[in-house]
Amino acid sequence: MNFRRREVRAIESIPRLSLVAFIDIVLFLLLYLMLAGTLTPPEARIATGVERPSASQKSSPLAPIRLRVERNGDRVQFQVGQREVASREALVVALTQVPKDGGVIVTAGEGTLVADVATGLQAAKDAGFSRVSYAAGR
Amino acid sequence: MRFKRNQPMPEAGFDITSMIDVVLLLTIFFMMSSQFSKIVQRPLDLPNEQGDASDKPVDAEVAVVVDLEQDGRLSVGGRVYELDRLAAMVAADQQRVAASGRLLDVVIRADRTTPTSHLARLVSTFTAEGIVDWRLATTGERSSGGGGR
Repeated sequence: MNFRRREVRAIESIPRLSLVAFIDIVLFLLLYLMLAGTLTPPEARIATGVERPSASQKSSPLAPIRLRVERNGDRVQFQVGQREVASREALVVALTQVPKDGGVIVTAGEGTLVADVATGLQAAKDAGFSRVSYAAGR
Repeated sequence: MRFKRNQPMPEAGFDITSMIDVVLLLTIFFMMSSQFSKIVQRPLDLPNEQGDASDKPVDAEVAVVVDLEQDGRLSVGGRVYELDRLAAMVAADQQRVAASGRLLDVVIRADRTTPTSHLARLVSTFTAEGIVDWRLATTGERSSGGGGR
């Protein structure tokens, strides 16, 4: 019996896979994903809105705290009730000292920017308020 | 002179096995870490705030992400909309999502230098359509100083 010849034939007939097209596609995908990935930095969010009490939940008897945001040139001024504060840190301290059950309503004056409202909303969250809403046009 | 007879030259070639390994690994890494839904969003300078401590990621199935640019232009998924049409569209989405027992997640991505009047206009129109819960997108990084910018 002659096995040798058959073995050689088997080795010669192994198909070779061309990887050129595959590498092209993989490199294209890599480039695309690298570009798309670096263009989208991570984001966070601040929840705001009107809380609707459920059937089992009673609404708080306390009135919500009013936080007014004003801008004068480059200066941002915050007003919590009758108290005026000019910095974020002072605003958080001021909001920490008021009752939180009624929530807080953030309003913004003319000339304010979205960043100012965001500062107010964030300060309320940092002070421990769970119900934070933004009232437009008041 | 005596030259050797024409012999076939051995083919020069790179061994690209390890390169393919690395490229495939990188591809898998970027595929896993990328969020495709964000690609169509407008590049905006979001407010420099940390965001909610209990912030949930945006579930694309039940979320509408509205981009608000500095000039008040509104867009969803890279497509510009008029305010009234957008509000009606979001309200319809809210009804559709509510029918499946879930809540529509409305995310407003507003440029930090956008005048509040544009945000107020958007929020007022949303409220009139019954959309009262929304989230304001931020960078997730705390800004230094007292002002908002």
